[in-house]
Amino acid sequence: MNQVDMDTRIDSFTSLLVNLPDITREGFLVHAMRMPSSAQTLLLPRQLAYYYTELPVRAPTPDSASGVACKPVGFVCGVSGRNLLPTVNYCQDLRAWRAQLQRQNIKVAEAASFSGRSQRDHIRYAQKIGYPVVLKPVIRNTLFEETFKDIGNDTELEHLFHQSRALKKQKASDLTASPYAMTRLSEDHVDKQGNKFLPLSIRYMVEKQRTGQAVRLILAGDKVVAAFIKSTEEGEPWQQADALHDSYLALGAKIAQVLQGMAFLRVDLIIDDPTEPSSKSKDNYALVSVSEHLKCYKLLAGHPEAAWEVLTQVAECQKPDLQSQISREVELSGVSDGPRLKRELTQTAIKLGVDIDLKELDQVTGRVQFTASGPLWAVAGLTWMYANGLGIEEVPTSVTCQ
Amino acid sequence: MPNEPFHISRIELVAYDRPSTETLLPPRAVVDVQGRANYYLKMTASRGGIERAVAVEGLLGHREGRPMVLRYWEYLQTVATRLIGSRLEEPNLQNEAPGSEFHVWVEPTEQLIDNASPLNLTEWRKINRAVTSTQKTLNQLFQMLEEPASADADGAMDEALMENLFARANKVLYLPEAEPPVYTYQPTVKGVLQNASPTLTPNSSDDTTLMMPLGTMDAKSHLMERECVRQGFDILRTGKGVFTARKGDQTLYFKLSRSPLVSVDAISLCTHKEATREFLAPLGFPTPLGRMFPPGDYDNATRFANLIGYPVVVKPATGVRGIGVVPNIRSDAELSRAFHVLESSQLGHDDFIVEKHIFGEDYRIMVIGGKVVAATLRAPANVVGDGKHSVAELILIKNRYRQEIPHLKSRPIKFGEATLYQLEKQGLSQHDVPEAGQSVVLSGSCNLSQGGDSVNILHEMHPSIIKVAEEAVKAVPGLDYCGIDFLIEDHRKPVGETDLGICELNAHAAIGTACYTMFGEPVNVPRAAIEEILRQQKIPLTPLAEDTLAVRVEIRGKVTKVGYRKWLERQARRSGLKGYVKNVGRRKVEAVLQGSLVGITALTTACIRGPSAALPTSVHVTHLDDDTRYDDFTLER
Repeated sequence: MNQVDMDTRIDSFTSLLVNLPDITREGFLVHAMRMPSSAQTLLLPRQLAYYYTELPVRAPTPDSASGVACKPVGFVCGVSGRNLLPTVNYCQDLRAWRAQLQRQNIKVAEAASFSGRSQRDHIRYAQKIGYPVVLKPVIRNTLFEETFKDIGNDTELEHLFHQSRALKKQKASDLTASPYAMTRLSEDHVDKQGNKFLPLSIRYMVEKQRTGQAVRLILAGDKVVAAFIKSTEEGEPWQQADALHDSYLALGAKIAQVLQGMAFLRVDLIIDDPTEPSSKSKDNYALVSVSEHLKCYKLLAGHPEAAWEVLTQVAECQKPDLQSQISREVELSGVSDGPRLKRELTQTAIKLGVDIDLKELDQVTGRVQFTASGPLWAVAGLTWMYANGLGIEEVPTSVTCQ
Repeated sequence: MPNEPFHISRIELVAYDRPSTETLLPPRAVVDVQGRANYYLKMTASRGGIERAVAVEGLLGHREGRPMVLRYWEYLQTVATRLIGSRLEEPNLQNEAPGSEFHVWVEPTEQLIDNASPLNLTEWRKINRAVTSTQKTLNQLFQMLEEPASADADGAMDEALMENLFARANKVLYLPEAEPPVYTYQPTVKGVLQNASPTLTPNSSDDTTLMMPLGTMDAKSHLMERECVRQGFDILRTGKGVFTARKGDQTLYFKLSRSPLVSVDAISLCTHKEATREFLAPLGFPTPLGRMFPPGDYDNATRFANLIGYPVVVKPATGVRGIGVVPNIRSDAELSRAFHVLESSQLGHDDFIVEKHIFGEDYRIMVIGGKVVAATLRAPANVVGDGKHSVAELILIKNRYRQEIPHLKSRPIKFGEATLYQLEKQGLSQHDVPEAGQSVVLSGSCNLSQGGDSVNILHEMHPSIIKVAEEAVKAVPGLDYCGIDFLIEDHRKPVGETDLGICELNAHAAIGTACYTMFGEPVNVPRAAIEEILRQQKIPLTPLAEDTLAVRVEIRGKVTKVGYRKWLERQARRSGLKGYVKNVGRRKVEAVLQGSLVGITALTTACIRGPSAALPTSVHVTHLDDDTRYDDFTLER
């Protein structure tokens, strides 16, 4: 998942973006916006990015009176640090947000959840609500949504329920691991054949699959700042939802009011007829997903203006000229294999069209310093790829740019 | 001599963590006919100046695979308390018709009766069975006292028995009560012993009983809920650690101790130790010199350890609860062993850190809204000798005191290979009796879950250390609630005169640590956290009286025909609450609870679990406006 095709020359911002793994694109967009205007950028594992508007002051000595003057702006995986943790955790927990929103008379998709101990119950439930159904984990991963759609019968559901429970062991520091989920140390479940599965207590949800129009609302604060629509058929692109009934904008605002603590929120609905009021009938729409991950990168190709407008609010700065030339002093830490680092850095810089001036490389302390010069998008891309180990083997622990 | 009375001078009572058919004593000393036991009772009695100790095993308040039911334990404790110091005059022990003293000793207590109504025959049969069984146990003990001394009867001193007993001990009572454990802070700085701080005695909390309905993992969430209810918020709980607090149009979200004081990027930083160091070190904060390595990169890690110099620490980059951490590594050979320990731990497949070892005690400093509100020293599990009890007994005695503290109740000192290793290093075994005042360290880890002590020391912490802690937390955006972990040689000395280093930042630190400490003045950290949230969100602070609260509770889910109302009634009565409980339809139970804040909120948190057959999906707690006062707690049908 963290491989970037390094065999072909990357000559534009767009070609770089499509070369990056999905789960790193949103963070890269924010990085490309923030880095040029920041006095110092600190990129850390887990797609953590901190941007200082002034160079940070060192900590106080016991005698000095002043503290740390400048606090950076923080993002993780492109998600703004203005989102409060427990509400984000609520949005990751399907049972929690569904219960909360249902109590506010917001319609959610018909669903029930089952643990590994109730293997047969999920089939009985699917039969009760009728196929097709959707299967998804109750606690959503931060970066990708493991959702199985179009499940048409008992056999398919049984197979997917079993398959989805197979253990997918991740290092906590893997790119795909949830950086702000709860740490799980529960015992794996081992079957009679010795195969390892997720602990039995981990639940999966069976949801009635609806037909209709998929509507995506993007909220900033308690306002809908963008709305998109597409058919629920696979492969359809998102279109701007100009004809969406106002009541759905009000519904978005209501959801934001309930999920207090989310500075930015993505809301996915399935609606029978988006031009009709949301109150038209008892089940004319259903909320299927809420997420802190806005996925602006998916909208960028078709709707660049709307996407950059949302990103401007998230990154709290204007979109820079991505083609402008910049130069940054870069420091890497945690490097073990100096020759490999040098070889890969040179190769990556050539692919991106960035000039590198290597100043220091100490593989025992792990510190590497160089100057990177080139188009803004390419310097941002190089630093982002190094911070997140994209297309390289020698991955540093941190990347600092000034 | 046969006509002289017995004088009972010492009693040891140990309840097991679960019933067992593998009894520790010979069959004749096991009272249950099926040869099962869930407690051990040893009595020392003297007659005519000769002291004898005899022991039996019995079965009471039996639950398959679980410890003795609490009310039976309380009953046994009462019987033991009645026995101690008693004199038994010529008991009639020949025909299983003991003397009147036995009736006085085994008379049922109020806890045992547990509000069983006179017509509840099932309950009374259980109570009578308990009384008869206890009477038989005492009878057996006195019969053994009458007999000539034998290895069987006096085998209670056997070392193997002691080890087995220790391994299965869940609750203990030693009478007469041993001296309480103490804590004296006296660090060594660069090889020089410093002045001792005043000796502290253990705390005990009235909340322990009221928090009984809570499971072992529910306390974090409960403490936040308690403070929200105190501020007049209504609560909707949809999971064991998940709840929202609502007042007017304000909603606050909570997950365990994750509160609105922490942002999403702050938690990502704090749960990665190397990221934390990379953030803090360039800003000049004292972090140990170190770096992270990918799994298996041991050659580079060894070179790095030699570069920074031993001693070093090895730990997983994203570790929790001290898993895989090996401190004080002094050579390449020890480092190689440490890599093996790390690799075989639960986090062995993850990136790891090698960093300079800092000497000193381990501290958790709580910073809320940029201010230090508590500083807790976490000392490794230890006991202090009294010249009378063995190390094993001292551990059991200390664990008894830990039972009085809600946060430590489920974190006893455990005895295992690591304890034996620590004892061996000090030239001791668990059977040795340390001298009075001799401190015996039992663990290399300061973790409270490994039996460590928590000591609040904020009053004597040097202001310069407090300042460093506050500035470090303030440097991280979105971190208004943080437990910052320090290693400090002497917390009374200023920065510069004592070695210190920041080990990690905890954005969801255990909120009960400073709230319920073993030693030192407790600090209400959850209260400070909730008040800070309200200040930040510009919500007025409106604390309610803590002893006269009234709430309505609605529990939904599979809560009828599963004994839910009976369970709730029993818990409410135990906590001294008034009100009622009733069914409302097929999937809803409603209760009104009046009483203390702690009692009410501990029960409302526990309601999401309920009795074992229940499956509640939500618990909704709303404040009651009406002035109706209830005199009792009733189960309405």
